[in-house]
Parts: sequence; C-alpha cells; structure tokens
Amino acid sequence: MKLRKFIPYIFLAPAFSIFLIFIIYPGVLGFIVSMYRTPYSFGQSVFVGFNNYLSIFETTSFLDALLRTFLFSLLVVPTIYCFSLGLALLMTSPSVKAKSVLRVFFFLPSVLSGVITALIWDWMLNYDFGFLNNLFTVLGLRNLPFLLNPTYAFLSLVLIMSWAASGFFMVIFIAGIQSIPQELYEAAEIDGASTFEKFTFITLPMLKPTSILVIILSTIQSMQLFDIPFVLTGGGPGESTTFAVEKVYNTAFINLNMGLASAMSFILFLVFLTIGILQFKVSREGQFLA
Amino acid sequence: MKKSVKSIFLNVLTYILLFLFFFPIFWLVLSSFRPSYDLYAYPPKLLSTDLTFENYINAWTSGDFPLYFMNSAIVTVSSTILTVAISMMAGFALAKYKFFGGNVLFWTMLATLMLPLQVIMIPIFIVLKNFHMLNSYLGLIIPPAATPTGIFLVRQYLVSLPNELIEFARIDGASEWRIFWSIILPLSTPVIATLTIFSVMWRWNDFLWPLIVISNEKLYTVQLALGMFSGQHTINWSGLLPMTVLSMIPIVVVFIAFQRLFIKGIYAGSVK
Repeated sequence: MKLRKFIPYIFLAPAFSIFLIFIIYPGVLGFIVSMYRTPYSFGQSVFVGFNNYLSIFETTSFLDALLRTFLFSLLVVPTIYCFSLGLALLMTSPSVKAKSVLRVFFFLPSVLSGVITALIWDWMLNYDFGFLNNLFTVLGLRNLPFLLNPTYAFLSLVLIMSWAASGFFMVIFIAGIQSIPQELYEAAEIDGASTFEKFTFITLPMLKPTSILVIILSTIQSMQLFDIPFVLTGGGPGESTTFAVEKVYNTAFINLNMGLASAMSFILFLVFLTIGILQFKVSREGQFLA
Repeated sequence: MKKSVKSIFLNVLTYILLFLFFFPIFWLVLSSFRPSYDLYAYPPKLLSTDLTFENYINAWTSGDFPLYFMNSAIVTVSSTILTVAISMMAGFALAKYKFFGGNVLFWTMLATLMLPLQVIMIPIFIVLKNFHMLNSYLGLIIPPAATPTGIFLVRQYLVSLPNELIEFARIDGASEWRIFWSIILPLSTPVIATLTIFSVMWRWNDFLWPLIVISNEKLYTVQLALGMFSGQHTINWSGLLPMTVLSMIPIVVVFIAFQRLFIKGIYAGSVK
C-alpha cells in the first residue's frame, strides 16, 4: 500500500528524465554558455559575463536578422490568415461540391517537410530550370531572379511559407466556422442581410477566438522557421533571407562561436517567451499540435 | 438564377485555387519521370511525353539513398514507439493520480514548450557531445521522443475516462501496472493512433535535429541527405527529383490513410 505512493513518479520517470536531460538542463546550460567565450571544444572557455550580449548590440548582424524575422512574420501572418480563412470559407460553403476530398488536397502541403517544400519550390522558381522561368522563356519573356534577388527571394519565401501552412490553419478555421450557431445566419436572412453582411457581422466576430489562435500560432511558426530558407536560399542572396534561427545556427556551427550564439539564443528565447505568455493568456491550457 | 451564378463562381474559384496549390507538387512529380536531356533542354521543353523510370533506378542504385531511407525508417519507428510508450505512462500518471508535486510537474512539462530546439540547439549539441551521442541512432531517437504535446494529448484523453474503471480493478486486486496495461491501454487506441501518426510525421520530416546531431554521411536521414545535397553548387536534379518524390511517399500515404485522425488531432489540440 505504501508503494502506491511512488507509482505515479515511476510512470512519469521516463518522460521526465528526457525532459530534464535534454531540455531543461540544456536550457540552463545555454544561459551559462552565453556568458563564456567558448571555442568549439568547450575546453578553455573564458568567462566574459555579459560581453557576448554587448557584442550582439554592437555588431548589428543578429539584430538585423531578428528585424528581418519580424518583418517576415509581419508579412506571412496576414497572408496565411487570408489564405486559410478564404479556403475555410470555400470548404464550408454549401455551394461547393466534393468538399471532403478537396480539403485533403488543400491540407496536403502541410504534411510535407520543410526540405521537400523547399525543393518543390526550387524546382518552380530556379533561375535556370524552374518551371516559371522555363515558361517565361517559352513565352519569350525575360527570366526573373526569384531566388537571386534579395527582395524577390524574401517575398518568394513569404508565399512559400503561406503555401505550406495555410492548409493546417484552414482546418482550424473550418472547426471555428462549424461551431457558429446556424440560427444566427437564419435570423440575419430573415432581416434581409446580404452574404457580405453575414460575413462581416456574424462570421468574422464569431471567429475572433479562432483568429487569435491562428495569428499567434502562425507568428510562432514563422519566427521559428529554419528549414525552408536554409535549403532553398541558404539565407541568401547576401543575408537577405537569413532569419534569426539560421543566424544562431551559422554563428554556432559555421563560425564556431558557441558563446555568442548562445547569447543570441537567449534573446530569441525571450522573444518566444513573450509570444508564449501572450498565447497562454489568450487561450487557457494553450497547447497545439504541429 | 443569382444563386447558381454564385455557386458556379465559387466552384470555379475553388478549382483555380486547387490548381495553383497543387501544381508545384504535380510538376515535381511529373519532372521526376522526365529524362535528364528533357530536364536540361534549351529551349525548355514544358510539354513532353517522354517519361521514364530511369531517374528512379539511378537514384536508388547509385549512391546511398536506400541507406538514408533505412536510417529514416529506423529513427521514425523507434522514436514513435518510445514517444507513445512514455507519453502514455506520463499522461496516465498526470490524469489518474493525485500526488505531491503533480501540478508542478504538469506545468513544468508544459513550460518546456518554451524551449524549442531552435532555442537550445547549442547546449543540446554540447550535452550530446558529452554523452557521446553525436553521430548515433540513440542521439536521433531518444531526445526528441519526449514531447509535451504528446503527454498533454494523452492526459486530456485519459481525464475523460471514468475513474470507477480503475477503482473497481483495484478492489479486484489488480496491480497499478496491470491497470495501466490491461485497462487503460486498450481503451486508449484513439489517442494512441493520433499520437502515432503525428509522431511519424514529426520524426520523418525532421531536419534541424538530424542536422545538429549527425555529420557522418552514413547516418544521414532522408531529409538531411536531401537538404545537404541540394545545398551543393551544382544540383543534380535528375537524381534529386526522384529522391524527393520517394521521400514524400511514406508521409503522403500515412496522411491519406489516416486523414480523419490528423484532422481530429488538430481539433483536439486547438478547440479547447
């Protein structure tokens, strides 16, 4: 009988050992490393206090990457919002046929990996062999440097991420739309409301909680984005598509400056934490898949 | 009359969007069957009926692609089994026992969501290095297996199961492990199924994790191999296209077969 007191701890032990060793301990270690000037081997590291943080603010390249990440989110989030809400409206419209099959197709890009997404779009946008430029050549038009011009590359990534994420958020919006009581629409119809009025005065306000959820989740996803730009543009041309996470990766594993990269990580952590707290405040027990 | 115009418009719009959405995938798949003299032709040949399996045969037989596939399969399957096992156990403890520190542990677990790999990749690299887990299957399999999302999903599901089931079994003298094994597990098939397909998707699609853990080419997963090879200066597209298609197949098949569970899983996570 006494033994039973320990049972829950035993059940929790495997998962929590992994959390402790591979998430919580590294979280603390990361902060410690950020106070050191560390060579790759972690051997003769020198304590430098907050100097790494100071050098982040002195040399602007990480702040540039962070700013670029914010700008990217600022463009991606509304795009995803419009795409996914639009798709969800179509996929719940009584006039559209074969919706359950179509939904699957629209959702499909969301289950593909970032690497595959990058390759699919490389094959569309590539300067020499991409479909669009081939099409332009055939039509006698000038080729466009989709991935070779800083602005084009940045905007291409906005569209690619929106393409990759919209199906997932469409599913969330569909759930939101289906939970709106039908009586509201019936009452509005009796009052002679147009489709547009029904949308602005019923659908949109009733979707407020869903919308907030979609905005927060897509903000987090876009700020954590790593694999698509890493594979598609390598952060280039120049640093035009080097976002915060890739900057950390490059600093740590290419420039081999673990201390500085850890300081960058910690700043990034504070940014994510702020968004996370916001998310938690908005939706209690906020917890989402994928 | 007005209604049918609207209906035609919406349907046409839907199919235009579907075309735009789906064309990039379609074009990649189609191109993977085109011979390389067509892929690199100048002026470009967009419409060509020359299709061949040659690229696939070359991709599969030259180079280590089958090995990468095998690595991905090993990692995906073992990590998923581990994820389901430890999430079920932890979720069961958090849902069905009242114990000292239970709440703290639950919130600690949720708080680890604030430490995604993107933020702790450097210390994780150091920890794995110290444990000699870099360039090993264990390093690929064990650390990502514990996911707060998985435990949360299980806990939410088990909370809704009636406690009487467990109390009656205790009166009958069943041990706690037996209750977990013979009562809880069989009743949990829906949540196990959801967790399994999500875990398969996460692990198969993972890129950043293997990128940090693996530098030995013999241990590359499919995603890592594709990502590394496409970063080279001259991309061998006739080899890369079929590999990309092959690497999509498992996840697309799982998705099509279990799409209801996918969508249910997203609902379970988001509409609470």
